[in-house]
Amino acid sequence: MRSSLVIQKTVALLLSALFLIQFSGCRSLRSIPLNEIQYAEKQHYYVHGQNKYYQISGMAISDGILTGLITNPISPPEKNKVMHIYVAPDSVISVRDNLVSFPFSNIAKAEIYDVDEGKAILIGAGTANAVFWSALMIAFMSSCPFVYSEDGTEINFEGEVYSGATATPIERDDYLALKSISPVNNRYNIRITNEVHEIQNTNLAELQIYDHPANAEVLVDKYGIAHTVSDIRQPVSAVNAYGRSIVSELSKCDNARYLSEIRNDGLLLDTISLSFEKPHNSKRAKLIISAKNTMWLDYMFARLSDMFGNRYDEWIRIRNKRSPEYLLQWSLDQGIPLAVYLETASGLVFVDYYNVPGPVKDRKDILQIDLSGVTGDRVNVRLVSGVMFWDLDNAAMDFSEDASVKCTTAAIDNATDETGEEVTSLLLHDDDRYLVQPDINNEARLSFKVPSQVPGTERSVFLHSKGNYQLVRDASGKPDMDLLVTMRRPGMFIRFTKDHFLKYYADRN
Amino acid sequence: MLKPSGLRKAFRIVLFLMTCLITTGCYTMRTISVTTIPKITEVIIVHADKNSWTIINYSVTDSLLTGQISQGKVNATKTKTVHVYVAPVSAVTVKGSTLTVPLLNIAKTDCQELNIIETLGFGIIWVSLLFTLTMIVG
Repeated sequence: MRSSLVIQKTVALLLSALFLIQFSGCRSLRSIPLNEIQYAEKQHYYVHGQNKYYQISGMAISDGILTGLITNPISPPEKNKVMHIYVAPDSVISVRDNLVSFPFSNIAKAEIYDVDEGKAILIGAGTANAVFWSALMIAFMSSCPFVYSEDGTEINFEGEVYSGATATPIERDDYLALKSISPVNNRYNIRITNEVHEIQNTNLAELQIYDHPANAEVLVDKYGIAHTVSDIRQPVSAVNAYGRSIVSELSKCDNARYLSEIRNDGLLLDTISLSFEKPHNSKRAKLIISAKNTMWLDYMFARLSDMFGNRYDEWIRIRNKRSPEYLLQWSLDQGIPLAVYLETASGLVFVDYYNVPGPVKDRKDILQIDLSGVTGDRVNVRLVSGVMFWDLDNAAMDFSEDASVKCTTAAIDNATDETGEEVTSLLLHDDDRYLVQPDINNEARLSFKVPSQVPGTERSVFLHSKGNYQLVRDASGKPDMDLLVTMRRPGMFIRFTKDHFLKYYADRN
Repeated sequence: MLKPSGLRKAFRIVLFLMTCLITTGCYTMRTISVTTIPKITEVIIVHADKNSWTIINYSVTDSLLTGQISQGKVNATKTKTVHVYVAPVSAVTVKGSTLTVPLLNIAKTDCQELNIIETLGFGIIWVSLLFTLTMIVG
C-alpha cells in the first residue's frame, strides 16, 4: 500500500500542476482605472454605447480622442487580449469609413479579463481532488476482469466477471449479459481486460446465445439457468432497516437508488424488506435486482488485505488451501454477498444469495424462489448485506412461467492476447489451463462465429466465463494480528468498515 | 499520518473559517438597464471618472436618474446595491444633497447577484477538498 506520505506528495504535485494550468483559464472581468487604458496593451476593444456596439483594434489616443479600426475577427479573440470600454452618450461616438472615434472623457468604465485567483485555486484544487480520488479508487479497486463488446462502430463496456472470486477454491462461473454486442462480419467480438492491480485467471470463456420470444427478457442466474421475464412487478412496499420507505428508490432502473444509512449504533446488517403482491396460486417467483457493489466495499477489503503486512502472500497461500465452503461462509458471515430471506408460514427462511457484481456497473441478476411455503396474497422478502456494501437501483419480482428459448453455445473461434499470441486453448474448457493476466493493460480479444437465428425471435447473448483473481498489494510491515484474528468472527469485517467510516465522519465534524 | 494535536486543532480552525467564508456565497456582476433596476435596490453608487456618490431614495424617470446623496455610510448588502457608470463627469449635477444624471450619460449599470450554480459548485468542491484533506491528515 502506498504510504500516506507518498499520497500527500502526489496530491501536492497534482495541486501545484493544476494551479499553474488553472491560472491561465479562470478569468473574470475587472475594472481598470481610466488612465491605465492606454497602458493595458490589449489588441481588441469592445466599445459599448447604450445602443451601439463596435469591435475595434489598433486603438490610439490623441488629443483626448480615442480612435480605432472596426474589425470582424473570424473567431473570438482570447480573453486576455480584450478590453471592454463603456461610452456615453451614444452621440459622441463617431464612425467614418471603418474608423470609430470618441472623446476619452466620455469613457465611463473600462474592463479587462483578469485571473480570478480564488476561483482558479478552488477549481484547480477541486480538479486535483477529483483526480486524487480517481487515482485512489483505481489504486485500491479490486474489481476482476472487465469485459467489452464490439457492435461494429464502438467498443462498449459490458461489465465485470466473476467478481468476488478472490481465491482459487471460490473460482466461479459467471453469466454476463452482453447488451451492446452486435455481429461484425458475422462474428461476435469481445475483449477481456485487466484494468486493476490484480492477477486475473480466466479458465473458460464461451458465449451462450438465446433466441427467445420478443416480449420476454432473458436473464441467466448464477447456476447457469436461463429464465424469461415478461411480467415484472415492482414492490408495493420497500423499507430499510430503520423503517424508512425506499420504494421510490427501488421501483425503477433510474437515477434514484438506495445506499445504506450509516448511524452511530450497533446495526451491522442493512435489511431491505420488500413486499410484492402475489398472484393467486403462484408457486414460484423470480426475484430480480439491478445493483452493483460500492467502492467502499472494495476499498475496505483492500485495507483488510493490507493489514496482513509482510505476511500477505502467506495469507493468500493459506486462503487458496481453504475449502470453498469455509470461504463462502466467511463471505456470507461478513455480509458481502446479498442474502435473500423469505417470509414463510414457518418463519423467516434463508433462500439464497446474489454474488457480488463488482463496483463499476449495475448488473441485473435473478434468483428463482419457491413460494410453496408462502401463505397469503403477499410475497415478503428481505435483502440483507453489510451496511454500505451494496448500491441498489431496482428490485422487482416476476411471476411468469419461463418461456421456451433456444440456447446455442458458441466456443471461441479465435483468441489472442495483447502481444498477438494465440490463447484460444487456454479458454476453451473448464480445466486447469488459464489465461493469466497479471498486469494492468493485459487484454485478450476473443472472436466467436455467429450462429443462425431462429426466425421470429429476439436474440440475447451472454458471456459464460469462469475464473478467479488475486489482489496485488504492496504488502509490508508487521501484520496487525490481534485485529486479523477477530475478523474470523461473523460480522467483524462489517464492524471494521463501519467503525472506519464513523471515525472519519466524526473527525470531519 | 499523525500530527501534533495542536497543529491539528489549528488546521481544523482554519478549515472552519474558510468554510464560513465560502458559504457566504459566490456573487457575479450582471449588467442591467438603468430602467430595470431591481426593486430591492436600496443604494445606487454613481461613478464618474475618479468620483463616486452613494445615493438613496432614488427615482428613475424617462430621462433622469435622481437621488439623495447619503451623508454617512450606508449598510446595504451586495444584492441591494447597484453601480452606475456615468460619462462625462460634467453630466452629474449635484444641488445640495440631490444628485441628478441624464439617463443618456449612463454607460453601464451593474448589479450583483448570487450565482447559485457557482455557490453550490464551489461549495461541493470545498466540501470534497475538506474531506480529502482530513483523510490525509487524519
